[in-house]
Amino acid sequence: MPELTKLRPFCQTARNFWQHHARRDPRRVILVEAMSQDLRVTLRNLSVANALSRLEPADVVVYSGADAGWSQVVWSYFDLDAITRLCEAYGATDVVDVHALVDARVAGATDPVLVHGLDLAGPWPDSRIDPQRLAHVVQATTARMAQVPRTDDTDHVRSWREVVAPRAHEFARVYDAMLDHLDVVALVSSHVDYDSFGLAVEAALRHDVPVLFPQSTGGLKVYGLWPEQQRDEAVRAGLTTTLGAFFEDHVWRHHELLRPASELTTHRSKQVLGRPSWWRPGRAHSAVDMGGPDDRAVLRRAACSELGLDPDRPVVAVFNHAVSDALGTNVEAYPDLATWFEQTLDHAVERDDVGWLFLDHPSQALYDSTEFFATIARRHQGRSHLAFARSMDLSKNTLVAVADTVLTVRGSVSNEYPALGIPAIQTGWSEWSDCGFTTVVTTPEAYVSELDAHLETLHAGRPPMSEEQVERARLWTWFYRAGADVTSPLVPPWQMGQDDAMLDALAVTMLHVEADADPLFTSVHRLWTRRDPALTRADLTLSSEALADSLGWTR
Amino acid sequence: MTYRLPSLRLETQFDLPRLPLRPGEAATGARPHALRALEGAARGPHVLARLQRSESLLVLDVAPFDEPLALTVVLLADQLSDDTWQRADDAARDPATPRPTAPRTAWVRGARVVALSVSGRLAAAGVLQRATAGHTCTQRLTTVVQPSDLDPEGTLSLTLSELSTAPAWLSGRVEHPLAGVAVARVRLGAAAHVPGPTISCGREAAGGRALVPRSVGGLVVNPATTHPPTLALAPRTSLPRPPLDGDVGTGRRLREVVASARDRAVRHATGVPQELPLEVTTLVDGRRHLVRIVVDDDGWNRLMLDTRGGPVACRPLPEGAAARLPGTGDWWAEVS
Repeated sequence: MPELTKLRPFCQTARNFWQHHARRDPRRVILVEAMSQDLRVTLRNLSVANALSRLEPADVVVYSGADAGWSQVVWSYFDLDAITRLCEAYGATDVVDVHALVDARVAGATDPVLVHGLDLAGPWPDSRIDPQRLAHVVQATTARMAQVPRTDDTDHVRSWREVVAPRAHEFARVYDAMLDHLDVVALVSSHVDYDSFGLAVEAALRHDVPVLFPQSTGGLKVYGLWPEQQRDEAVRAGLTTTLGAFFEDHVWRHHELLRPASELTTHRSKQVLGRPSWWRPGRAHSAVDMGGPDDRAVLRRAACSELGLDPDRPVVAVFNHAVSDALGTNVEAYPDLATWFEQTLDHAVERDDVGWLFLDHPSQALYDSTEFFATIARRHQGRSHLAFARSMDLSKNTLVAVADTVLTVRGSVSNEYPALGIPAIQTGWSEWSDCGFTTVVTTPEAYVSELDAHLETLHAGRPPMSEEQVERARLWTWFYRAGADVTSPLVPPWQMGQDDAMLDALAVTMLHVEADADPLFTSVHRLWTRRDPALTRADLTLSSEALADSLGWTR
Repeated sequence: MTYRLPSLRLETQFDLPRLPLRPGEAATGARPHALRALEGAARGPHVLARLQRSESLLVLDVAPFDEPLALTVVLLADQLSDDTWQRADDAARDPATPRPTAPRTAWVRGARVVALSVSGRLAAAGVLQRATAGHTCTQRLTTVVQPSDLDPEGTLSLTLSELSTAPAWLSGRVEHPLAGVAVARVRLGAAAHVPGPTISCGREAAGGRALVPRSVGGLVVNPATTHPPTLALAPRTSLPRPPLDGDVGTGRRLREVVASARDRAVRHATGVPQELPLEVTTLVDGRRHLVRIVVDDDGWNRLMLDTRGGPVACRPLPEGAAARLPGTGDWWAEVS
């Protein structure tokens, strides 16, 4: 954990600030998750909760903690004391270590754990969650903890399942108890997957409680999961469709006005300003530094020569996922990410009329203990139309120069590449998959058929995506990095880090800047009152003329 | 025919306008318009590119030409490039959790050689010494580009890379030969100007003469033309010391007097060696041979080099007292 010598004085400043800027009502609560080791995540959650309390006065109740599994597999420096101190400074009336509570319940301990007058250690009934849904959460959590692409009956997986299943049962029970017996205004959570995070979100939505879902990137990005907009398939499915509709109605509608802005965001994205490539660090190695098709041709020949691929044929780039990451949290064509990858490879073996570049995920080491990618790559060595590489071993330039189509289930490459005119086929839903710039298929049969048709288009020299699709992809990039990214001095940009410098900047704001009309407050007001799917920097429902004014542009 | 994706749209409204490099012009950090693609390096405001990977590719937009042109690439080793290399390396090693920690200096001891290839052909090699705080090392590599060197797209591809054929004495002790190196500028010579051969030894030549320091031990001759160059070498102590430039203090003048006396003592002890063994390495293929050069009447050792295969590395191997005494091992070098 970074050195935080100024956390204590900062907490005093924050306490003084929020006691006058948040509104409390002990009869109602806002539930806030604080289960990430990164203070920036918790800071975002708390800021959103306090902003909401200005509209819906309520106490803030925080559930936090990390169990042995998360500490072993995911976290490296989880500090409950620091998190608790921060939460209390932001006005939390209760901070419960829900992981410790669940462990105690599994062990049969009965010491009371009072949260807002509720004894969470009590004999609460089983959760009313759909057993299938609970089983799915257990499976996804087991895969993540065991770092395996899919759960099977090996000893390694079974031992993790034996830990995860009873804990998930208790998480569901505790979250249901809170939502049954407290008057909950909203739940704020940085994650919606796995047992500790996801079951709280599931419980909230089942209890008709909205979920605000801050993102760990940018300035302040928050998605809204509204109970009335949910779908049966998975937690994120409703978000996909509502974001698609919002994009169509309020963003694409302004595409002519927003074109210069989306061009600039795309230009900056090429230079890795704002880190649109979620998983790729490193400025030059992750930048797209080429001007046009001629330059790409030069780089392509060099890159294909190194990869052993034919530069004269179309190349399909297949981006492997972090194979145990949040399995099944949206609509997908295959039961898991590994199956998609394997079946794509099976198809690629047959289609030697094009080149195939299979890429492993940059952070795979944190998600896979089975050498899934390396094993597959070894098995297919020696086929001249197939190449395998670790993603970070290749520069973004190389990838863009080589890839003529990208395949993914839900990865951010399906936004980055279409913005450069390189089409993407998704076999699952993502935040942007309803925005009209990717091809989305949801069955294996449709995938194969769409892929074959797509390859014929490439062979025929026809454009596989339209100008409008490129523009839509660029506009989504703008929406993601600007339109739906709120800049507030009360939430320092993610890249500022989580050390004393960030606390200093925040303390200066709290001490010396009056908060009226702060974008944190105005944007949360807009999100909450309109039930928008995302926090927005400006009111995108305005006419183009008025929107231009509010964005500070000359018409 | 390289496959071209019909829907590709890499350009944005904010990209630099295309301005091809013309004879007499240079691409620089402040005027990078001709640099169309960059791989394995980062652009900088004051340099064209800071190298970040084991091979860096610069694709330059060049106005069409139909006769050979001189191309000069100015390489720079400096502290900021060291840091840039290190940061990029850190990010690649630990992609999951990049940390904004203070970069450590790239690990460079001794001189290293960097290869410059034009469209895949080894065109020149540069010897660079380590940059120390506040000091930089600059080397100008000049070669001749032919119209046939252009890519099918009409661009000129320059590659900077390690030279696997370099002799051990030029390999230094470095993380990588490209660590801490930047391309400061690329200049296209005027059409009428036919460049001569040049020397690269880690120090800039003055008046056509370069001082090859003992710490490097040798030099690289870059031919630039098909005309075989003649290399001339003389022990530093065999020639009068150049006059001190500018307004120097008394202490510096006193040290110069002491140094001149020391040089005279070395000259007296070593005499004028009649033969100089010279190790010559053809850098294209690493072929190495030893020649013995007879000294001319003026005290210079001259040798006509076969540079048809490209740049060659030369290392004097003095014998006897000339190899042992303090102050020996530095050489004056000229090429014509």
